[in-house]
Amino acid sequence: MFLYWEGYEIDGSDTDFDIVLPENRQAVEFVDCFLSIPLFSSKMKPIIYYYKKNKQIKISIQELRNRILSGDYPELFLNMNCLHIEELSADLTKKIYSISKTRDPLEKAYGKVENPCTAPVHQTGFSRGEMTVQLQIEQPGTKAGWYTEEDSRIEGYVNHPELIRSSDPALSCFTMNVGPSFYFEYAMYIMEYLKDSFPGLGTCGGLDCVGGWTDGCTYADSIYAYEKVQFPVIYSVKNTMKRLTEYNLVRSYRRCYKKSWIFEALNEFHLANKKDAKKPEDYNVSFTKYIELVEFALASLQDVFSTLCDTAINIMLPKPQEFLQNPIAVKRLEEVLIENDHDWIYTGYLAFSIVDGQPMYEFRVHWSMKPYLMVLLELVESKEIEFIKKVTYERRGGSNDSSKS
Amino acid sequence: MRGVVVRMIQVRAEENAILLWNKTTSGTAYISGDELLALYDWAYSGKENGFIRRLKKLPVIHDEDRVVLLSVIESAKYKKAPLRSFCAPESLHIELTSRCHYHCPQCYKGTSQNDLSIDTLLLAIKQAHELSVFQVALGGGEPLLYPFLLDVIKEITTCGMSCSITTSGAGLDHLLLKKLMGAGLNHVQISLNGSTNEVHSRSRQGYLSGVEALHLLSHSNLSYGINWVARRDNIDDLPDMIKLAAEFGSNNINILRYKPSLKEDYAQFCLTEENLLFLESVIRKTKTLAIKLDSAFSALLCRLNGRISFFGGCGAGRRFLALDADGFYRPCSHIDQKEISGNLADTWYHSKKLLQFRTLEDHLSSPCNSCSYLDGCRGCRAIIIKGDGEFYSGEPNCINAIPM
Repeated sequence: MFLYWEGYEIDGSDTDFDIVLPENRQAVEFVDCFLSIPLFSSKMKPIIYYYKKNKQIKISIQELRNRILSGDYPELFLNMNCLHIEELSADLTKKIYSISKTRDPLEKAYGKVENPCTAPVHQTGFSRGEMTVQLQIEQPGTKAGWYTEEDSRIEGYVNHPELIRSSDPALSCFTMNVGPSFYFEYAMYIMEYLKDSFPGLGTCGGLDCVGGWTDGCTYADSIYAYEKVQFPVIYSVKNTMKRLTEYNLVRSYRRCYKKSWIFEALNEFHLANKKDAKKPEDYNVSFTKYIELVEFALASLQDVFSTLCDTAINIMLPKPQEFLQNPIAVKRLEEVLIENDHDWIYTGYLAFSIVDGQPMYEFRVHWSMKPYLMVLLELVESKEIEFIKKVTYERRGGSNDSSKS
Repeated sequence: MRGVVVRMIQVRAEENAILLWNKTTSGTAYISGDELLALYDWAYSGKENGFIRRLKKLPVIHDEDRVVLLSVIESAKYKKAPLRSFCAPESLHIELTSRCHYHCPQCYKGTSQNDLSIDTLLLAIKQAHELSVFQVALGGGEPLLYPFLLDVIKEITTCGMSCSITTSGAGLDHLLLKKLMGAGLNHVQISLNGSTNEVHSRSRQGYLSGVEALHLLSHSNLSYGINWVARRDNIDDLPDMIKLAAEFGSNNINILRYKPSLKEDYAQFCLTEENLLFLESVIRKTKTLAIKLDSAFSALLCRLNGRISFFGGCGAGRRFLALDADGFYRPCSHIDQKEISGNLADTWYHSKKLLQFRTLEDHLSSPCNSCSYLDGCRGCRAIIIKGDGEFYSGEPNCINAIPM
């Protein structure tokens, strides 16, 4: 425990601290420490609120501090958005990846991905899903008796069982809500960061929807979700895209619901990010428009991640069945497919960026699909699937015009 | 074991914990458990983490303190404190004299006119220093009348303890203030019961002395505040008192609970339910000044915060001890129970009277025994004893019995 207070003793009156209790000051320190976590985006201001008669009332950070200091506050909520992993500093990125080995059990992709990456998508708003962390600030004693002896037996679930089980009304209580689809590594980093400044922090992980600690939906997203495969742009962006599309390597899709969730192939490109999009169709761009967009992004002096996000499109790799004309090609592709070949396994992203002054394009495919992609690219190089060009042109309406991709 | 003075920071081993005291900032830190391990780790290896940076920022530690902290933390394993108390008082409240210029209606002191023997006082200071007491709070009567005041303050502060004075302000002039500050005085608290003489004089004398003293202090660098006793005949004046305190640039206003006096009928002047609610509402609205509450008002403190504080509640025998002008230790200045032993450590560790204070929560009767704030309050024994006389009686007119 650590408590700090200021004040001189006064004869005849034991009053060395003022009405702002040391515990309340410490609670404010805790909130300030939370706000300083380097994972959080400074571009998106925190949203702080409470509910009054079912209405959400927003307050400022200073008002949050004042309320906690006063000791008189309703249940308060503080929402922060995390930075994308590619927006983190090199040291912090390294730290985040080092946490993966502490996950028990280890996730399937761990140790198997050469260039791990995630979806090149900007977080544009707060949500209860990925990347938003909510700190819930409650009156002391709120969680007293919530957790039991049995809870403390689940490895990693409860740290400091005595503290968690305590109904001591002097103890401040905070709840951190993340997920579904949060990163395990981010959550652990946040806990470590807070514990670094507050060593006496007793923590208890909440069970997720499947009654688990790491296997359920809370940490369903992964920093190893995709494998990055990068190539230099030769000649031009247009030439690169022409080549990729005519071999059907890059075919855009969108996920939509028609009696069930499906991946619907598109004749245009579906951008992964679009500022000011008001409807789903706003994300779709023609081949020509896409080339213009990529060239503009590559020419602008912005950071790599922003360029990637501006140029990222959803893609779906072709399935083996599309190459039936060449059974050997099909066989080679099927050999490198993992057993569980649901449609989503073929989805990924294509994006462009400048790396060391050189324009590059990169595939981001499901971590298990890198071998599949490499075989596809080999088949293209060895001209074993030239027949696919005809199929592509026919789909475009019999034209050789790439602008009708 | 004696504590160690570490620059302006004093550190003392407690039972599996340490207490640190910075007399310049008046900051006290209590560290135990995981935090103590982190501090030990830093003291041993220099390994710094977010927690150590917090401590340095306050500041309660410096890089130069590592070696000393290491030995103090190691000794904490072997320390044994009295029940629910620290290994030594945090502070000593000393009645230097029972003499006073004034004869305030609300005064709880008797008619004796004693000065505390200087030998007894110096011995008490020595013993306090040996036990690593952090603070000495001087009062009276009127402490400015004490003939050895400057020497005493010098002795206290040279030992590394801080020193504060509670005074009516009578006799405080520019020269005396300069001498007091030169002796090392850290803080002054001026007793004022009203923003006007009319209100003040209902319960106290010396309004002009108090106001002039505040004026003097407001032009000095010394930390100071105002003591204001909450009574039925001045409660409505509180908002104006707060304004006055803010105008004088006072560090705080300390709201004391009215305690039974020799000259007044307590029931006539103690706060009614309505007064208590008014007091609560004024405190809640006050943003301009730090408000302190006498530990006799712990029930109100808990109510304001909706929680208890770990070290809150009656501190008699747990956090402080009093020494009266006759040279006897007492649990509190307002309690007439005198200790037999004249030895500070012996009193602190073995006094049966102090044990009674330390076991209040085990024995208090209704309504306190069923209150969720019991551990952070424990009521005021001075008021209870002078009421029906039963030591473990609960507080019958507690503010927390009033719905919010």
